[in-house]
Amino acid sequence: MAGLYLHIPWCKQACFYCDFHFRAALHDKDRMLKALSKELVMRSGEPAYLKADTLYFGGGTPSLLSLKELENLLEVIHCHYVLDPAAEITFEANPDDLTPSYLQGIRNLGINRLSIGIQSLDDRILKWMNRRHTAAEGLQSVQRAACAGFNNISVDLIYGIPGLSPEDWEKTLEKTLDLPVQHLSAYHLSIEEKTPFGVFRRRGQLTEAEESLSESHFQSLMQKTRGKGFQPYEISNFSLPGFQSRHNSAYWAQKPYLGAGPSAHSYDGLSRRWNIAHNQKYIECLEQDLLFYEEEILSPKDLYNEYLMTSLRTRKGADTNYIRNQFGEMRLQSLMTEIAPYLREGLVMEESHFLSISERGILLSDRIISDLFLTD
Amino acid sequence: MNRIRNFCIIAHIDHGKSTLADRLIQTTHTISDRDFQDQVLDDMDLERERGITIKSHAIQMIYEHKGESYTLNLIDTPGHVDFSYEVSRAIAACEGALLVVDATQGIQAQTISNLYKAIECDLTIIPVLNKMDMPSAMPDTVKDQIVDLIGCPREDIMEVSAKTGVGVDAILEAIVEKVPAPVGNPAAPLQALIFDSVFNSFRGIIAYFKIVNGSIATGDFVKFYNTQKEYNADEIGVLGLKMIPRKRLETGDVGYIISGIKAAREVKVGDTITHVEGSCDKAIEGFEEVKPMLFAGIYPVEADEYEELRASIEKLQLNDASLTFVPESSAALGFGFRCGFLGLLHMEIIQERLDREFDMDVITTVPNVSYKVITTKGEEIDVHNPSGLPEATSIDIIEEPYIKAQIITNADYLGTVIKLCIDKRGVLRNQVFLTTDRVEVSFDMPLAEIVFDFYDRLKSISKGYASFDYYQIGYRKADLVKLDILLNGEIVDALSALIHRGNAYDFGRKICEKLKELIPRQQFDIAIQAAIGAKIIARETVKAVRKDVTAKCYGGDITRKRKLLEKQKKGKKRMRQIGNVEVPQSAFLAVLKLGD
Ligand SMILES: Nc1nc2c(ncn2[C@@H]2O[C@H](COP(=O)(O)OP(=O)(O)O)[C@@H](O)[C@H]2O)c(=O)[nH]1
Ligand code: SF4
Repeated sequence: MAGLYLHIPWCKQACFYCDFHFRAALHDKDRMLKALSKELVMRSGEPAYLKADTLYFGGGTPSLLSLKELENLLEVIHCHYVLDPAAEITFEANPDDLTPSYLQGIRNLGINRLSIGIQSLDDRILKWMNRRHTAAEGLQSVQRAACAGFNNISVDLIYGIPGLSPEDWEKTLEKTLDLPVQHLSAYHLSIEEKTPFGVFRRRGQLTEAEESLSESHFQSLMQKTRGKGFQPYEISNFSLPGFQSRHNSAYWAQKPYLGAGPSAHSYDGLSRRWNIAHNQKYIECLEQDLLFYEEEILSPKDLYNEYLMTSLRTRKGADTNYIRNQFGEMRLQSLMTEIAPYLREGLVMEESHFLSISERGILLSDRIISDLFLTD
Repeated sequence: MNRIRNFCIIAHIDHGKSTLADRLIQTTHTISDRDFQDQVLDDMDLERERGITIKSHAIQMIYEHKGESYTLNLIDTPGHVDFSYEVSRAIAACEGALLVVDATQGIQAQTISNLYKAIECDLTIIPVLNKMDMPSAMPDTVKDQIVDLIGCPREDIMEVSAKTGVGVDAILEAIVEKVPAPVGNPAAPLQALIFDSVFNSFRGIIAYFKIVNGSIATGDFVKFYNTQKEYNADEIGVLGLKMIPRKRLETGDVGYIISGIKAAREVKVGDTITHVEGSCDKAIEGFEEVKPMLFAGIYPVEADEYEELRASIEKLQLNDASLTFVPESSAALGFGFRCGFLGLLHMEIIQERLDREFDMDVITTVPNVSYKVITTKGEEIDVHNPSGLPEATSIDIIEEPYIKAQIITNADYLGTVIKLCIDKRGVLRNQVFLTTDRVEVSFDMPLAEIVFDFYDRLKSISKGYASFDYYQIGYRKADLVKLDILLNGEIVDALSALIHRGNAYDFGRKICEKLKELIPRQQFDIAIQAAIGAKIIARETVKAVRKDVTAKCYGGDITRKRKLLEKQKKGKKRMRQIGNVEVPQSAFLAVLKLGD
């Protein structure tokens, strides 16, 4: 079973931290949607993706789609792919787009999971990040979604923001977890080169949060979620039992996924491919039947590194049986020697046949993972 | 013989020696214009980039003057103090020298010390002001300096531009008219002075020589006087742009000999070539065994490349006799070699050649000078490595090499230059005003002090207006301590250094600070300590990394993220694991950069 991802490449306003692919310009919306549909139709022949059990509208901002446009896209999918009747169908939305009627509309079209980007409950910070909604709108949108009958709602929060006090962060967490939500994605702010924040940093107007602040935020995050019965299942993801994102989990479980739309990535088990990250060029390539993606065949080393990277980010961890089967006993033995110092220090745990990064190790996971990588 | 002129060019770096040499070669049509490549005398990549002639070469030019044909041999000299012995031998092979001074810069320290060497050898000096085409030339001031220095008539100073060629003919004429022909007895037993040698991968070692007395012919059975080794003169000849074989070379000639020698160390610059039968009864004066002055450990970054490193150093030694090496091992770095160099520049050159020519990734440890230890039993030991120092109780006296340092600077910076030298344990010996605003000062200083960030500091305090040269003046008693560096409580032998007691605290503090900058943070705190014996004299801490994590890793992030982490891993691979601490290559040389 595969996952399907549709990239809706527009935003009304650029958030300062964001390095996703989007264009603020909404023109050529029709041409884009046609191109997107064309890609979906064209690629339905690829065997890895024929049967899907998750569908994800991401972006950009999917909630900029009109109900009619969404309906058309869904029709293409139902027509050309075998979507499991119990499929998880997620829709990312910005709070200010979620009017009661829109919510009702998407629910009727079969959306059964919402991911709402509330990000912060502090208007000052929302403004500083150039988000287009207020804290009140964020809270309200979740209530409305629940009223509309959504019972699988995820919200996004950002922490590790310089200037966000530990107390304010705890309050944000409490308020958020009191909402009718079943899932939380909490991301540490990362300042990426090619974003406005990246520019501010280069100019010396912005520095990353002190590590001690990050640590304190992280600890509150672990405590507060646990207190509300949320389980961490990946570095940035928490859910009530049974409400893990099936779509995102597939990324970390080596399952195939098809990504359609500009900048979307696909993985068929052997290679990864990524579409042109440029709206206009994507449209033109599809209209003129030109190549619209790049592709990389994964070497055994790549597969190994990716497996470690994705699995060790999850609470479950890396399966030593899987490593033995896929990469051989020798490799597993070497891994065990390489990982031993981390086990000793308690940054990594071993439980039955799984190796996972402990709560203490999570903030260092990039170091640990890269250290275990193979190089050529 | 009376139509031979042997000469060299004495000049400070960048004053135009190479450019002028090119002009002379071009003007005498030694090389056709079409083949003319700039600066033909420098033929190693590295030399070209550094603008320093590392190894001297020679070239023969034929020049017609007043209906006679003269043979001019230009013997090139290396331009750095590390090679001052080689310079002295090249000068000894000449009868004349062009003293080339940049008219926009004036005389510099190196020029002076080489000039003294030339005057000692009785060379005829032809003063030349170069770069006269430049608007910033100050011929009057610089002429004053030259007149003061060599006492020549002012009008004898030639004005040229090596760039435009103006005045170059006059130089050639002056060489013929002023430089004496070589003297020597053609009938005496052969005595030829080796002033240089080069390695050729097809023909082995090629030695360059000047015949002082007697003559030599192809096929002669010869011996090298000081090494007592005997060879067949398979091929002899003169040095045009290429080697030109000759049947016979006579007194006064400059030429080359190929005799099946494979390793550079068999050919010692300054040695005398004579015949096995009818040998001369003594060698030409001035021969010295060149001894390396600076020692450092060289280790492969990848421990399993030890044998490859050995092979590479052996190959380097084939054409660089001044490089020495013996195997050594370090608890921190594993197996490697203790290498001896002529000086810092030589050390850098070797490192660079290992990297470029052999693709070897190496770690070089803190260099030190060669100390003499006299034990309580009266034995004398040469110590080339901090760990080679005997137990304190069995040391009677330690001696360290001293130099005479000559610095020429603008009077404005005199105070700061003197302060620097005194900080470096220098003792002021002399101070002479060359002109109203240029001063020459000389100091007796421990060689060890110029190894550690002396050049850089001199340059920065004088804003570049100081030139520096030195020569060795023997050993003097030293008060040394062994300074150890500990990382998380473990001594890192490769970072130990022998330091003058009075500097130890300051040095210990600075090196801890520097290491703190260079050692990347790890997931635990790293204590960096400097200690003398059991006593800790300085400490710094590299704080643990507490956060290194990416927030998102979804479908579209995986490839990029993987590549990023792979890069992170590669960066790490280039470091050395010492105990549980990862130490980058650069940290081992940190002490050289304390001033930065
Ligand atoms: N304007 C001018 N530049 C010169 C002259 N002679 C040399 N140069 C320049 O000075 C620099 C150093 O010359 P070079 O011959 O390499 O100096 P070396 O280090 O003494 O061999 C080069 O950039 C030359 O082009 C000259 O007569 N006039
Ligand atoms: S965070 Fe979301 S809404 Fe903001 S710019 Fe990025 S994709 Fe658009």
